[in-house]
Amino acid sequence: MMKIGVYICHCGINIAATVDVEKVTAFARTLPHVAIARNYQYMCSDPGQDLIKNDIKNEKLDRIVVAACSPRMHEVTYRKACRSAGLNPYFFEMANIREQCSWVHPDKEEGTQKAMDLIASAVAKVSLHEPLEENEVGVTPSVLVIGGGIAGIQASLDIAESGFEVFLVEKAPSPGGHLAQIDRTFPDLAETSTTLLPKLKALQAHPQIHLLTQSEVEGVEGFVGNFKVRIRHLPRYVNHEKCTCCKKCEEVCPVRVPNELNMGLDQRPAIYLPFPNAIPHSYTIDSKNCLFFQSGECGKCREICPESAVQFEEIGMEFEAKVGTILVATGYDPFDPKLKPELGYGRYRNVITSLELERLLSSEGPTQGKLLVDGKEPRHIVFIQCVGSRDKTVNNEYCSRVCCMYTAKHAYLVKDRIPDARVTICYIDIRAFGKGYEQFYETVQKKGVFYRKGVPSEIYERNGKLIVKADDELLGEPYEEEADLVVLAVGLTQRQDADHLRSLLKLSLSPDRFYLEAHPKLRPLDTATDGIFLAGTCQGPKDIYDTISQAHGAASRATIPLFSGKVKIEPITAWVDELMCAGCGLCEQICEYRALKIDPYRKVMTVNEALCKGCGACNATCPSSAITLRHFKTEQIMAQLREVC
Amino acid sequence: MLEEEKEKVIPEALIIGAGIAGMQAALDIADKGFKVHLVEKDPSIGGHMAQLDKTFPTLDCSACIITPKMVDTANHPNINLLTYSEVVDIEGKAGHFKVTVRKKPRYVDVTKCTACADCVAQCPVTLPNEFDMGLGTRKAIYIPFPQAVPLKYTMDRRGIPPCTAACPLHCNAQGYVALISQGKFKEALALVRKTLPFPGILGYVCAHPCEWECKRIEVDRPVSICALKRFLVDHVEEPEIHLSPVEEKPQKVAIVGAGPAGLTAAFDLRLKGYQVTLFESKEQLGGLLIYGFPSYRLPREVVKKDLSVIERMGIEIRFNTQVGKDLSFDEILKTYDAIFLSVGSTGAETIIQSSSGLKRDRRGMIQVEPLTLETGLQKVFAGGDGVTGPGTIIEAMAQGRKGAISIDRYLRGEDLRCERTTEGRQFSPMQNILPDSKRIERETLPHMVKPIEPGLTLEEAIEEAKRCLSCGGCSDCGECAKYCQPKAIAYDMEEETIELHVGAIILATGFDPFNPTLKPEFGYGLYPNVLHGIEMERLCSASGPTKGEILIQGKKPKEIIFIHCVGSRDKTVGNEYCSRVCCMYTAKQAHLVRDKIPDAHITVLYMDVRAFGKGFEEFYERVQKEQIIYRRANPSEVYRKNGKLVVRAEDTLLGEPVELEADLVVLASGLIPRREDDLLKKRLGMESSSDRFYAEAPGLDPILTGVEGIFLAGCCQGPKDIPDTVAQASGAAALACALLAKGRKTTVPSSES
Repeated sequence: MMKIGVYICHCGINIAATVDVEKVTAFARTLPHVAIARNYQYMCSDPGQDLIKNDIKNEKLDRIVVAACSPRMHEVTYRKACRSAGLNPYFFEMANIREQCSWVHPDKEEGTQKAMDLIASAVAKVSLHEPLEENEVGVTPSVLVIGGGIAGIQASLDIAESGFEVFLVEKAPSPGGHLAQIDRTFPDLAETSTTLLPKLKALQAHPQIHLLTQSEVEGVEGFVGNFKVRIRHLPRYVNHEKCTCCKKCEEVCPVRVPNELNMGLDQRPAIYLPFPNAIPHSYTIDSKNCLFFQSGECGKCREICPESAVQFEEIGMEFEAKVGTILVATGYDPFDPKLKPELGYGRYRNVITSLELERLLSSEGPTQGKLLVDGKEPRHIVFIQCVGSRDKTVNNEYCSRVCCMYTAKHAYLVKDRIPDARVTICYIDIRAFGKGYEQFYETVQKKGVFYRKGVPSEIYERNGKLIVKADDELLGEPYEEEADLVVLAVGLTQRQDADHLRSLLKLSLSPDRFYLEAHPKLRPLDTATDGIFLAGTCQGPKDIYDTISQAHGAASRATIPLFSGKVKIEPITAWVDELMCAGCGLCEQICEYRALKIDPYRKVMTVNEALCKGCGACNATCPSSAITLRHFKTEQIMAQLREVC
Repeated sequence: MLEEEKEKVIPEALIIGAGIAGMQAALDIADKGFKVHLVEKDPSIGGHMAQLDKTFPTLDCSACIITPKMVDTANHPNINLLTYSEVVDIEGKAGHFKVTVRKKPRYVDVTKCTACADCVAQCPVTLPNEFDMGLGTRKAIYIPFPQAVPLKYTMDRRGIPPCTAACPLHCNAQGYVALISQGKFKEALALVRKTLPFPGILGYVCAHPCEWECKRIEVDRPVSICALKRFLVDHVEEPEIHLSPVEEKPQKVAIVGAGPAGLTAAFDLRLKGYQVTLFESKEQLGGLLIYGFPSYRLPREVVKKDLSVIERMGIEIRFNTQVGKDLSFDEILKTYDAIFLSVGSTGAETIIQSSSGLKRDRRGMIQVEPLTLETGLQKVFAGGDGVTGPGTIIEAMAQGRKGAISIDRYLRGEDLRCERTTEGRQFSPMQNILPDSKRIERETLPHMVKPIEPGLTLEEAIEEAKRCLSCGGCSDCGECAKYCQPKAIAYDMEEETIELHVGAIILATGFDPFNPTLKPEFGYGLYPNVLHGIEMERLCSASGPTKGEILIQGKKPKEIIFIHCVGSRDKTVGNEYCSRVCCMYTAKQAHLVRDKIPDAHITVLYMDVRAFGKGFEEFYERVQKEQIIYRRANPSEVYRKNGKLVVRAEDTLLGEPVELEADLVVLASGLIPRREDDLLKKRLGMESSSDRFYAEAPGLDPILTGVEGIFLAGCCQGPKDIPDTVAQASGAAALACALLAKGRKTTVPSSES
């Protein structure tokens, strides 16, 4: 014989002023299976909870209804109380007679009636409840970090420092990312190498970090705590343990291809060192351009290598790693200014991008830090902001967040090297928002850099000189300015290959095509999928400070399940009646959490309970009513509805 | 060596500040299984984010997304929440800090308080609500906002108010004035009676030093406290008062002279249980009260009613007995265990001559030890005008009380001198903490009532009482305690100091909004329709003072102007930096105004629009499409002309000056470092950056500080928006946990060493 206990809360006067609690209590006693009905000042208080616990023990109650506030407030509280008294916490139901009754109804009589209806409905539902068990699964104490830019490096170090294993997967031959291309940072003009080098060294030295360069993630399976990841490692063709970077191979290699590090401003051989401080500190062979691999005719590097480090026969390998969580830090691609043909990039040699200028200003760059245009120092330099940002014509409505400041930095450095040059920056708004940025903006202006509001409409050549045509918005008149060098402050865009990872991890994209976070305000580092986290510019443009801050943060998020060693599995999950399921797959498409998968052999839907969040979307979608959501079964909901209709 | 160091790492963290940054960091650390002590100076956690209406650019309801986090924080088994507490000291170094935390008294027992709000209904003191930036009010016992965590009341007791301090008898003037304002006259008179034995007399002829100190004078004129007391005496019908001591004592005390001092001493001593005999040379009680005041100023029936208490208390009265003439001084010296001489200034000479041993001071009055009123003669004390020379009634009464205290201590054999300095007239410690009175309209108030005129009417009394500024916050009227069913009110609660031992510290102290009165040209504080950013936030909020309606003096504004960069990018106020959030919160507020007042003219005056975050630029575009006019302009002044505000500015795109009329001007005030941070910086040996926020360690990491083991999160490092704050907070948690993890691991591989 079922014995239900009903507890009605006064919530001080919050409920009691509008609902006649005594009357409601008396009514509750008349409901089927109700053995006890009580009311109390504050059910959530310790004495209130004790009422329930004692009744469960002494009166042998097997179902509990509390009529009080919203379940969002205190459902967990009462479930805990039930559990501590030895009752399955899912034999509990809450009737919301505060937010949905006393707070919104001024009339006491109507309020009381509604409270009675809500309680009757909760009693009807709870009598059909079934016990559910909360399960936990273990967590593999390791993290997969995808992307070896500054975000991935920082996150890997943090995770390893916390004592967990890290698989850092980087596509390129060395971690470092875009930061390795950047010479100095704004606003302090410090050399980036002072930050990057120690971090690279620490990365290489850390026993908990598996650095996987020239590698890519090929497949992901599983769920939070228990991901299985397939990683493909491409051959380097140079044994990095033997290579001493003696440069001899580089000298004999007959191939010359554009050097990615220097944005194609100079050339490199097919066997090369990605950048001077690369780790592992070893050459690598670019098989796409290597004559040995293209025609089988060369092999000079192998002949000359004194350490016999070149190994053409090396083959790629694929292996599986088990990780608890995944951290995505894939970074960005610079905007391709050829999409703005009016700016003449690609047509005029002296229209360059900011990253190209970055390399030209670098002492390790193609010109050893000398800024020369056609062998001469440029006298007139024009910077153009917002190229590929805040621009709907190229479908990038967003601001790239860093261009204002890196342009200010570039202008400063140019002015520093060529003090009598005329440096103009054409801008829309100056977004100097970070620590010390506004002050730096002021310093740059004082240096004699000329800021002009309004971005150019066109760049063309006249008599061998570049002409920048623009509207000065402050003067309200158009002007033309001659320039020896035009620098386009290109924005940041999502990586071109982002789709690959997106589909592997089922990430969502925001309208700006960057990866979408779980919540724009409170969960900026999480994704909708438990156990997958975001750091750095793959989530949206940001500067180095914010990237590092976010990388630390993502490391924190990604290690929470590892520290606790277990993840809870939601007991309220979907369940498929295989006899009813037609295998149409509609629910699979609707599932936000990748919890549903069709069994290829039996052609029925299966639920991964570790992934299912119990949202009920599949349940509502299923045309043959084959899916049931536990705790919200059709008969439970119908019983609940019958009492209020 | 390394092992030794490891052992010292205490696997617990301290987080200072429980805004969104502190909560996020705490949850991250606690979820990893480490203990976190989260210290918040306010009564509730939540910080500034709880005050916001919507968040940009998604327009999520701020309260709706932060309150679940607040509840999670409070319920987390690994988080030790210390609200209404402050860190006062930190010692030690990374891995093992010793932290001293001061827990301020709430005067409410949180284990008993059920947040039923019964106390609020009774509290007579209304104060500006800080959570609503002073746009709304709260009671002196309050929760900052309905979703506060912990949901426990706090009593705002700021100390003894100037009026009460000024009263030689420390009559709780603020208390009874507050009760009168609520129409609780009986309770008010009862409160007066707690300190004053003869309220009627004082209601008519007190020199009211309380009114001299009343802070209301800085607004217009003092509250007529004395007249309010007279109102109580005139209007409250009391049953005849019978007082008797709790416990009778055998000692006999003689009081010589039944003026204000003697009567007060007799009253006090009899209540303490002594056998009191009152010697009076005339044929009735009162002394100068009868002979010094004409009856039209102090009606005889008032005196009679007040003094009738004395007769009913069982005090023996001997009229027409002048000690020294009708009865020898030695006689009473023999008969009584203690004597109090309250003979008045005219009686001093007689008593000195008749005694052997009483000394004369240089004015011819009885010489006493001022702290205790001892005369130098064993068991003889003296007070009142006979000691001080002619003075006021209230001062004489205070002397009577002082004498009674001395005699009581003397008869009990206690020390006469300890802890006597708080007696009599004091100066309130809150001389300079005048409540923010700038918004009080200087309207005409009921005329000041002179003592000889008829007393206040009921309506006048209530109006007059409402003028009180409630300097002391809580008025100590005791009403809440009467109505609190769980008996949670604890007036005697004291502050507590606790010591914590932690391995890592995260600073998440947040920011203060820039005070726009530092830009006087914008008229903030002068015109009620010039608001700053957070005030506007509360005005838009459904839980705010106007329930989300944008109302300025009861009317919907039609022309609204937002001014960017108030207190940011501005060297004239020493803030060269950009506050990073104002552009976007203004865009959001402009959108909310458009939503609530569809036909409003909305103009935003900006320098640069810094819409740099995810979805920000898109939101800026959306707002512009809602007919919100962005003008690149330098505003120079806001002034009032014909009842309307006029914003004078230079439109930098047109290159010409403009004047724009407005019903409401919203100043997008920037973010500045918290004032309290200076102290912490000093204690921790931390540096400030040039913008006065906490300086991070050199390098590219905004979380690390110059002190190992201390990390930064949120706006205390520099202005930032919510997602950047949350990311940084998680980041600080990662670094703290990497440190704490070292402490935890040592316990496992003990076999290794």
